[in-house]
Amino acid sequence: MADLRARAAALLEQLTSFPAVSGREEPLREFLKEHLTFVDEVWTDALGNLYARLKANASSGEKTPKLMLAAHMDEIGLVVTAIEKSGALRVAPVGGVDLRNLLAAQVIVHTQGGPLPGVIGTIPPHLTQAKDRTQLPSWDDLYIDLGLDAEAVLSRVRPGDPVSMRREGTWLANGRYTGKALDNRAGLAAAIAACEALAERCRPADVILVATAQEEVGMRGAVVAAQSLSPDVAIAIDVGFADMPGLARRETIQMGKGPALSIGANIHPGVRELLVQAAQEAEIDVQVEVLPASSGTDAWPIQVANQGVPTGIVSIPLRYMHSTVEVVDIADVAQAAELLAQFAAMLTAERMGGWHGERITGSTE
Amino acid sequence: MKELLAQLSEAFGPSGCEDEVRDILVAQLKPHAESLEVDPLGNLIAAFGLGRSGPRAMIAAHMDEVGFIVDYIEDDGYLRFKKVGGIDDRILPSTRVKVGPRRVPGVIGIKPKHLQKGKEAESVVASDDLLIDIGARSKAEAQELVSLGAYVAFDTAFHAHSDDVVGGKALDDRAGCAMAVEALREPPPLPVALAFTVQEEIGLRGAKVAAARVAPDFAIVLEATTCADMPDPDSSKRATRLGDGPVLTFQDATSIPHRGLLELLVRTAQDEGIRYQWKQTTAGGNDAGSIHLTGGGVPTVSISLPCRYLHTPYSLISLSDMKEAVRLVRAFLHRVAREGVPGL
Repeated sequence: MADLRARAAALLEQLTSFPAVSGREEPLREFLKEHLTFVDEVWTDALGNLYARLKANASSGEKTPKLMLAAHMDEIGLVVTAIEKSGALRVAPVGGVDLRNLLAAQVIVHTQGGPLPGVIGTIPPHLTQAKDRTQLPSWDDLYIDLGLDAEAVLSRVRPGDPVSMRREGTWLANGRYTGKALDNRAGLAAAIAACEALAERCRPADVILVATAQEEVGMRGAVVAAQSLSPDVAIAIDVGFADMPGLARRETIQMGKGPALSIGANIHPGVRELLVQAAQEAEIDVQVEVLPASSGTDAWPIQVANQGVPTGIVSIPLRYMHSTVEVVDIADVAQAAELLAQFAAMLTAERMGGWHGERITGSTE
Repeated sequence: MKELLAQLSEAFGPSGCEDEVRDILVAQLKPHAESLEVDPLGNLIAAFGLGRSGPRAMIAAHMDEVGFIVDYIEDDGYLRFKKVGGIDDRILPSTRVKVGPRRVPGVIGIKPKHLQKGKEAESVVASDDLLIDIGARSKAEAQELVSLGAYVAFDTAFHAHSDDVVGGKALDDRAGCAMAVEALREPPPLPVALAFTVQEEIGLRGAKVAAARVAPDFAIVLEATTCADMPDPDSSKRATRLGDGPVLTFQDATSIPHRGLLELLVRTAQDEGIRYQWKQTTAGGNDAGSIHLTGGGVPTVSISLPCRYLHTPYSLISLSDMKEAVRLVRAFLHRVAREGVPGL
């Protein structure tokens, strides 16, 4: 477990260092292509999803289960919409960006010629009135200042260039890591660490890790990934709202109390039960996250892919979601990895019995 | 000058806690200052040209920056804070900070957009309702790392955007500090006291006692001033424009510069071919507000730099503005050495 914690920490640091604004995930995808050397197969698709398959190395009886571990690799960000004569860039949000987290923020504009750092402009308090400072600007007022003269900006930046937040990760006290895009690099780190562990373990199932694209703009990568893989079982690994002052306990899960196993219509009861057993087997504390309808994760489209996929969700507690100061507890990430590895190791054809429905009467032959 | 500016920008120094900045300046000045002293408030005063005749100049730049101070630790380990200096609450969410003498990293986060209710999404969270999260899980854990009264500064790396424009925190007024050091790399034609002042951001307090100690015949304040030239550089509300050269002030909220000295400064710029601009607002103030009221009054002018986004975690200045300002300071010292302080 100590090993897994160190591994999860190293992965988290690495994965957060590559930008991957929804639809423009190439920098992170290229890193993953290079990094995932311990699997049997790696491939990508038209939406930009990246797949990594670990083939089963143990018998599972009549059928080898195909397990999909889905963790989205994309992050929220901005996109350049227009360039002012002054060189100021106008932007629109990509995904659920809270404008309140943007004022005076540092950003990186990803141009064809390379990254350009910039800052979201604000008016200094010396030049505003007290009442101005209680009003939020609108998206139309926002601009990015690259600190370059207008000609340089016009020659280097094009509308459509993606913008990521400029923020390096760092460690807080108690193994808590802070940075941007921990939604969902925390989930991706857990899924990769789980697969690394599984590469050394007995596994009766084929395990396909999918780093999905475009989750933050409507779980689009997962739609295609689940359709093309047609997995027997899928687990989405994502982040959940962690406790913080101002949020009711019932709205949140707790930092440092282990991964949460979601419950609700989006989650197959059999899959969840096996996750609970895996947690017991691995002696991991888990929490419950109650989701009445859409989980807002890749599990939502995966569940209804093709003729239906038994799907579960492992949720890592995360504070200040969709900001550049997101916080996770590395112990939760490591435990999620341990749980996923244990689940995959336990997934046999027998244990899936009944998960895919049954013919009650008649015959198609 | 850029390397020194980078070092100064990344130094920790909210008003009342300027030690780290002062240490950097002491190391810079020790080789060539004729005397170096620290006064009871923490101002650093470096004297040059002590044996020279002529009017005694004071050149002031403030070491402190806007920041925060921890005023309460919650039972669950979060830190409450008060602002030190003028900071717009709207820029605080998603800020990364360093806390106290151990420079403990912390973050200021807000409720996720997904869970905001009613009008929350459109409202500004007041700084009193924000928290610093250092990762502590209890008051006791937090107290092992942070004490009440711990100062808090933005955590920002310095960065060059081009050969000319650089970004970082606290360029207001570390740029002034760097310029003061640079200006005195050549021996001055008259006696000069560089005063690196404390507590400017909370009421120009260090400069008051520094000026009393130095008792100058005239003073130059080196500052970073508001620059709202983006997104519209032609706006009449821009105050100053980045890259258009050093900024002269005809009046601000804290002082009206000595007219004769200001005219001499303008003529110096014109005669030396230094492009300068006027600060096109009377908003804001600087150490001149304290210095010019010292003793029987001190003729005082400001030479400022346009600084975009000052009082936020990341501001921008132009190095060419800085170099021209240094050139103007040097030329002005020579002019006053030749012609004296007008009216004195």
